[in-house]
Amino acid sequence: MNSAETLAGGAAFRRSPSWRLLRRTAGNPTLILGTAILLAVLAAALTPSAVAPRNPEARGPAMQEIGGQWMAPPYPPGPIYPLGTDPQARDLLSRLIYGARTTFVIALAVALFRIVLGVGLGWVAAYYPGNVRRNALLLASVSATIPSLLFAYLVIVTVGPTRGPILFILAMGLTGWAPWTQLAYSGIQRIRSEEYMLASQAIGSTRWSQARYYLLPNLLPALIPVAAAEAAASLLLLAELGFLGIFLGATRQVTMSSLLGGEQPILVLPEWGAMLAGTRLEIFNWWWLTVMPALAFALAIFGLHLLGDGLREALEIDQGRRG
Amino acid sequence: MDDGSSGPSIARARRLRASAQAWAHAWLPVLRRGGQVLLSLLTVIFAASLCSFITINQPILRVIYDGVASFLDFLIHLGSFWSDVEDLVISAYWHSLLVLALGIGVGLLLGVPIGFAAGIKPHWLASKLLRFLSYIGTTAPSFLVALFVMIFFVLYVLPLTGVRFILLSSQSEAFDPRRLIPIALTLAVRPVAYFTSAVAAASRDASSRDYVRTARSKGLGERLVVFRHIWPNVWPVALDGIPAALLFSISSLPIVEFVFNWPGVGQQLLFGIVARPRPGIPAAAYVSFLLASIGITYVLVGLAVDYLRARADPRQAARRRDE
Repeated sequence: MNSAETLAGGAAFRRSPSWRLLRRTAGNPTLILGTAILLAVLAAALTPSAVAPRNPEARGPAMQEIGGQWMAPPYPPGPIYPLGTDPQARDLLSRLIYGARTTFVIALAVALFRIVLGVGLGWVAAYYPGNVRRNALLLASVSATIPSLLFAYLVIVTVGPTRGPILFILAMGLTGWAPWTQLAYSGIQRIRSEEYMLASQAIGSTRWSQARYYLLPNLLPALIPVAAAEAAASLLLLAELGFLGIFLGATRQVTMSSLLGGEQPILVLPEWGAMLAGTRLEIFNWWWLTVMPALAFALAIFGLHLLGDGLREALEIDQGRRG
Repeated sequence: MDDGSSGPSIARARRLRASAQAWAHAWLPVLRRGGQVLLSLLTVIFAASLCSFITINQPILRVIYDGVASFLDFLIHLGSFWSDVEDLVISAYWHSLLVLALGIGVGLLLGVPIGFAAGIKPHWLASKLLRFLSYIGTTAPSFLVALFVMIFFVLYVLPLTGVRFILLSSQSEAFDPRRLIPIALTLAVRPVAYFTSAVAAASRDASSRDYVRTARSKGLGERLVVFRHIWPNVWPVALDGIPAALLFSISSLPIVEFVFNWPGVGQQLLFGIVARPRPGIPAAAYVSFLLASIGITYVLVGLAVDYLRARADPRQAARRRDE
């Protein structure tokens, strides 16, 4: 290839959508940082055995020499165990890495449930005027006043935390969807009044093709950044429930004593929320038991918020250029 | 190159397509009808099995009947239920109201001036740092903030001052003003962050307006420009933010009160869901009164903010006079 061809190829690449995307991303540190944090967490969630230094269920020795002193578990963070161990001498870093998948699957499922419920109701409110719209929006307003944490806590404690992930997804997803209804309703109403929608109606497009070719492509840029924030909110709710002793894989019902953190629960599967359960008072003795899972949650929540804001920034710039 | 065989093969293909179309034309309506019948049958089987399972295997009708009956009993004997739990609800309410008011107060006192300073001097490094910190403050999980505040007071403030601000034992339920400080500080983190970012954005917006530029070009002193032209357009934003900040604090209330063992509405709600407050008193009645107390407070604060805004904001007052 001669130099002229190389130059022409370079210019073509610089005009390509990939190059524009690359440039836009390079100028958006929020998006880069958010994506980097999430990629790290996703790598842990997808390939835990390749990333984790140990088996999450493998127990360390009953006594170990750390910093010149013989200690019993839980072992503090150090060269042998970077994030320390739990009271059963299991490596916290490995448990966090193996627990990322369950934690993220639950949080993403809850976010998806809320989005589908909220956007579906917003769509109904936008397309069916009169009583249906009034009732749909009223339902969303009522739902917005219900505190998600208390509702999820109430439902899971009443039904029993031993019932599995479906209960968690339902209890956490049945509230918190109201902003999606408002967002979808106002977005669809705005798009439906645009000239291209009127034109598509004039040429006889079906409701499905209108949704597929005009509504969704114009609605998604407003929804995607909020979806990242929704995943962060679900993750936060999971953390708060875990901290209150409500976690996936619990072997028995919550009691007053376990609520006050007086006892350590039996953790069946590595999950971040479960790792926070009953650690309220451990912060003064074995701080890493509380701080490490809490920091993992905080980092993932921060990453999701950064990703959402970065995406919003990128999409606003993109729409501004098109506009 | 044409070898003479393409003509018959095209004709064969056309014949095949025509016969397929004829077949589809004849059989598709039948298949569609059959599909509809099958779907109807499946729906009937599904509904019948669901009804049988939830009514026979689970005593759901009895549960619904018991729930509705006890709710009606609660409504009819509201006064009697209230007198049973009056002291508990009022005590929890005052405990929470105090920390909520302090949290919002600290949020206003710190967040508004910081946000205002960051907004009118957006290029200062400190302003950028404050904006970043406010971002972290709004995304940080409440329980993590509560744990860090607890560590700070136990490990640093206690040795320095000799005063115990954190009393975690269940015997320390008596009202102690010292305990207010860490709880109020924790609850203030999100309001401070929220007020900082909202006021900073409003100040930045007001600073770039034409009337501010005109005032500066006329040679007005900076202090006059800031306090005569920018500040009157910023404080309504802070006032409007009070209900949102209160909502942030209320959503953090159960976790924060649980961490600090503060017998407010949040903690009592968590305990009320798990167990009865006193023998003979239904937990549902107790939880209902607690939820209502917080809900009424939120509505009243919203109304008070609307009233203040209408009275104090000159633009709204002028609009009301015009009407």
